[in-house]
Amino acid sequence: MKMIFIKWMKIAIGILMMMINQSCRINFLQEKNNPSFDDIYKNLKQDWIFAREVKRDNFYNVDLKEQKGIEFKLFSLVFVRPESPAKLVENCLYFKMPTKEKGGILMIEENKNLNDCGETSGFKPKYEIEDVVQVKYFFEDEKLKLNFEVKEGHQNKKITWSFPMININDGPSTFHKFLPEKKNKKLPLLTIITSNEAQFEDNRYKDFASSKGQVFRCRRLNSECQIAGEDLCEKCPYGSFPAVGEECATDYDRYCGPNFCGEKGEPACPRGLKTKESDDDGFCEEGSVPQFENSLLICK
Amino acid sequence: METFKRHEKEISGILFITLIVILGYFSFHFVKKKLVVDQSDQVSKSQSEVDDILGQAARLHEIWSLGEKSQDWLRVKEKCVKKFKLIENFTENQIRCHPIILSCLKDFDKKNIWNFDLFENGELYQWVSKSINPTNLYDWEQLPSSGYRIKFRAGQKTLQFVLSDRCHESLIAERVYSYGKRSPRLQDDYHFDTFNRKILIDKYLVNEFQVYQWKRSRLLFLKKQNNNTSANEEAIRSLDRDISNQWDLQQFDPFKPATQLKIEEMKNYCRDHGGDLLSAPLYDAASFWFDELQDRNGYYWLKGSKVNASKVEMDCQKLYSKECLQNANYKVGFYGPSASGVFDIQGGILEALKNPLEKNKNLKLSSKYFAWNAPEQMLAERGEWNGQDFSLSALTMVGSDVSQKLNSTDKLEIGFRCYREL
Repeated sequence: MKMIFIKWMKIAIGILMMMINQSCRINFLQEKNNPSFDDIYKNLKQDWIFAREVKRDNFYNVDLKEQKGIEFKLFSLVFVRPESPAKLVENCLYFKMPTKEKGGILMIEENKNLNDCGETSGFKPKYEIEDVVQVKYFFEDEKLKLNFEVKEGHQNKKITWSFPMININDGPSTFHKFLPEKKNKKLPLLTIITSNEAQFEDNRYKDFASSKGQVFRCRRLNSECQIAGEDLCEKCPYGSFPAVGEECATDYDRYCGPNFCGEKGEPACPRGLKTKESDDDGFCEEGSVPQFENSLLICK
Repeated sequence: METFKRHEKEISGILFITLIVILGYFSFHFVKKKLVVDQSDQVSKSQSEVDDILGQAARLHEIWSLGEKSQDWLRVKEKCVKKFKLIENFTENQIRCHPIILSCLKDFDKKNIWNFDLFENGELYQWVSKSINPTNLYDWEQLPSSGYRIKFRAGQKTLQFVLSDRCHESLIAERVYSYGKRSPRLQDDYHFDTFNRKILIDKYLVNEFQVYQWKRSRLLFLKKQNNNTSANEEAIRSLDRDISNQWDLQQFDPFKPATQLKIEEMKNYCRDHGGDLLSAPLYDAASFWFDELQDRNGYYWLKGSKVNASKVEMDCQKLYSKECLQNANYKVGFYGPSASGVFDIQGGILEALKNPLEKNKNLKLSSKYFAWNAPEQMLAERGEWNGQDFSLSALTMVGSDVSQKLNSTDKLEIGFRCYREL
């Protein structure tokens, strides 16, 4: 009887182990692969509200029906995750085109390092949506629209996602009157900010300000008039202003404000790119003359 | 039966273990399911809170940018105008991007409930700019050059937004311009151009409300900086003094042009708004009709020099001169716009400028201090202001005696506007 008891115990423990194993496996599978569309949408929406850049040359309707089995990068999107300290995170979106045998796959990767999105997806997308028939994405009314169709039995289910992109700085114009259409540039009026309280002790901004006798160049143009290095002018707390550089004759280098142009020892005020009646590229207050020094026209 | 009795304990043990296993299995699944449901409830609750706030922010954004044209403004306008005594200097288009809209929506909008959250000091909004509110690095880059910070709350969730206050700017066309008065010979004219420059000029003069908000934010900012240098302490004292002396909140006319700032304060104001005090060359660019470069008229609304300025009929709707004082009050943002879209170019109050080309000629003279046909009313006529005070002795006019031109009782009202480059 003791033997029977031990045998029973073994069977019971075996069943228990199997049950636990099965539960864990189901749990694991559910968490890894099967968040619902709604959950993915909610999570993305919560992240992408803080998007500040969508990397793609132009937004346009993409209809990729013909490219069977090929994987495309749709776009990547940089957003601020408002944890403490706030972090910049990049999501990369890929779409693997459907074939006769297999539906398409929409993949969303997350990278902690910016500019890490490869041309094709890596090994571990954060989200995978299978059986996708086609994807369209476009930018409309300050919203990024992502529309796709998923195969459900014999029918296709249409899914429409819409993400407010209020911090993205390009889009339709808000200027009117007095301006030629092509010069229109949008100025966003609403910005969502991610920290809870201002950190007034943070003095990093001071590094990006000019002061009398010392200027901070935030955008340099090379001899081909291309931006050399990074354009840092968005960081300037007092805005930025153009000044005459030596390398590019058809555009300006930019310096962080405050702008003391024309004063002795400060950058000359630009006279213009096409006004060449005299030799002056810039003007200075009485008592000083414009001269180049370290590739910058200053008032000496 | 006997065997059963003999092994009763073992059999009971086996049954007990089996029961535990079954119970364990079901409880595990029950707890797991409950956990998942609760989490998803939390996610969807928090998401709906965020959605509520975003919905309100989007709505407010629309009202903010439509301003006087928004239905919501029209609904609260009457009570709002009464509350803020907006009569004298108020032209309705200035309500666009103005936080008075926020206060009035909060107080008088019966149709919508706005979930504004107040700041610690009870304020509904705070003016911020890149230089005055450097938050953490990412936010600071995101911030517009300046605007009003507001908070929305829904449930446990609070989100902050900045509404840009820059809707009243004119982008100057990229072209060649002339500086100053027309010279008899074209080659003597001074030309400059603005190609590849995106220059935005304030359409209106800076007003009392804007200066008040700027000084308050500057004061808050300096106080929070933990900088105990004597310069900082003096700046705090001075701002405290200014705020309590200059603004009687009961009599406060928010749209009255700010006329009490010294020229260095004007420059600081503009710098904190991401720009600079408007310069004389750009003032000229914004004021002359620009069809013919060498053929400019002395009045902003007239094209070509062939129109004889001395025969231009007086029109107080275009230029508020001394004669107009008797008929109507000066109204800010009413006269104009110029071809470049800028208002109050001529007449009204004096206007301070930065002038790298002729350093001392830093004051637009055309104003209510001079008669309609006085030469000082012409575009590009400039005087010299010491930048410090507002008595007649602070002003010099080359070739004229100020005391003969102006009444000795006149106190100079000197306003200003800013420009910035994108």
